[in-house]
Amino acid sequence: MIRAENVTVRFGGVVAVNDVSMHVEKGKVTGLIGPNGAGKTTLFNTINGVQKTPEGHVYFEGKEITNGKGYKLCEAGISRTYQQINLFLSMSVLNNVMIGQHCRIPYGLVGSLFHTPKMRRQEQAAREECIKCLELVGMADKKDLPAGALAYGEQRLIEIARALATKPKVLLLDEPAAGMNATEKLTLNNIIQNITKMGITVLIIEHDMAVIMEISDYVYVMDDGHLIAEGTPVEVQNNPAVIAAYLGGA
Amino acid sequence: MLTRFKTYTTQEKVTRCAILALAVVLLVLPLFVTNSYRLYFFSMIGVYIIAASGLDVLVGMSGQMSFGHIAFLAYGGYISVLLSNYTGIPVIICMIIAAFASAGIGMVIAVPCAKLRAQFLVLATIAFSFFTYQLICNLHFLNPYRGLYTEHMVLFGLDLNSDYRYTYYFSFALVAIVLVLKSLLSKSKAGRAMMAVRDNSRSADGMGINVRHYKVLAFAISAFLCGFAGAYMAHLTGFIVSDSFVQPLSFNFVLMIIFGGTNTVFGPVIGAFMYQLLNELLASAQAWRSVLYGVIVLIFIAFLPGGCVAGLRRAGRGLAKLIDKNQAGKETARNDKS
Repeated sequence: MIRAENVTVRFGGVVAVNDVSMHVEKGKVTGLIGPNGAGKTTLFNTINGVQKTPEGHVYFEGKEITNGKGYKLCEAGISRTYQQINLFLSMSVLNNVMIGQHCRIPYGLVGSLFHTPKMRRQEQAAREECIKCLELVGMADKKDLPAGALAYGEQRLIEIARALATKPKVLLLDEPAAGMNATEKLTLNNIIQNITKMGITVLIIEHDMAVIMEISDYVYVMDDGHLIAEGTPVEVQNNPAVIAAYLGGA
Repeated sequence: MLTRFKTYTTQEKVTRCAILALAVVLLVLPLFVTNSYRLYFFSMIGVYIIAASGLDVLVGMSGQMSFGHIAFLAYGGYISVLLSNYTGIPVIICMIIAAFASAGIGMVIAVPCAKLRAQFLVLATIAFSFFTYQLICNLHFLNPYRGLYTEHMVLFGLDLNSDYRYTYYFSFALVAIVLVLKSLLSKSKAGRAMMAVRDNSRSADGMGINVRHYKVLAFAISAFLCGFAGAYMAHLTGFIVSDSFVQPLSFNFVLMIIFGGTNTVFGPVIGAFMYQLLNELLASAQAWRSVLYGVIVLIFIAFLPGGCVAGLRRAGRGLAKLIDKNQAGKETARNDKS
């Protein structure tokens, strides 16, 4: 589904991502783990076009998307959530999710200005779709609140709903469990499992080993810009290089 | 319509009643105010409301600041006047053509401007309005220092300029159309996209919004409205001169939306009224006027950043609560009796 080949990203003298190749398989949950500063988010940014790089290639469904434009990749079916909350804080929860539907709503400027019958129909359909997405993350009852009024964990769930509203083929989740308590993490696991049941491929960055071990089918481990291990969760867990990276041993 | 009204919450009812009351007052006003200057004064407020609404699409909705929008009034005004003076196309149509031309200019300006961040964008818009003013001053066929006389607006055989009561109602109708369209825009895909760009352009991009496209669109819409306002102003006053388009006048529209409240439908209305009233009241203060404006703006930014509309909303919410409480009280009293 997504294939990264020899991707390297440099910030001045620092090599944030060093010659990383990985493959996200269709319909599976792929995990990306590693200590802070390993370059996971930078790799994510490269995949969805936020970070440009002259080195390496990224393919999506066989087509090259290296250094693509964010909004075009979203249209093509790559959606994401952010490590730092990136909601539209002054807008209502529902309108945030409606932004996700933006590229799936066909009407144009004339519809926007005159609210033609066609526009009303499409708007209604989009609203229903968004409410479904909100129901999936259990936030439908908060749809009229301003996004900025929600708790941190709830805002993360809204980000997932917004990403789902773009009707993605691949969903990139950047540390979705950060700042969540144990119960919220459990709900999150369920949500991610439901998302894969919908046929959406998931690539997830996570610090929480419990979350990643339970939900992912295949795991990549990064440290200091390098890929140091890959395999099934069990294989990775017992890999000495991974243990060393996490526990700081030599 | 009445059945639909019953489904609204008390707060929505309060808001709608207030808007209706305002509209009725403004509609019957010319029956009581017959002074021609006063009616002209009110017609002029229409111009300001349209221009401020245009600026608000850019500033309030899409989050791009401009201190140079007077330039679009200049383009709209001069294009409409030249067209009507030299071609004989009906003035109303000239005004619409001028508005579209102004939107085109806005788009051309927006393409480079969409890449600029806050303070650089502001500088670019200031430069744009200086450029426009100098351009007008150097085009001698515009007779920039003495001005040009303009044609009368004729709508279905009625000469609007013959009586300021006509222009008053024409202003009213134009403002109503602009406000309705702006409110529809804010509840649509394009309006939402602009607000998303304003709140967080990076994640708007990630969510499939072509950020540049919507920044340019916001510029075009605001230039359209300002261009139209400029054209209307020129035909309303019957005269167009370069001095009406000096850069500092751009600040007036910024003042109006700060007074009224950004990203609201009625903010520019309240702002324009307040601005005109203050102008009249402070006329005797002369040089002190700008100082007073400065103080008032600071007060607004510090204590009422949402403008008058935010204050009125708060008042409306309070009133709605009071009505709800009153009704609930009556109901319990009735239940107690039975």
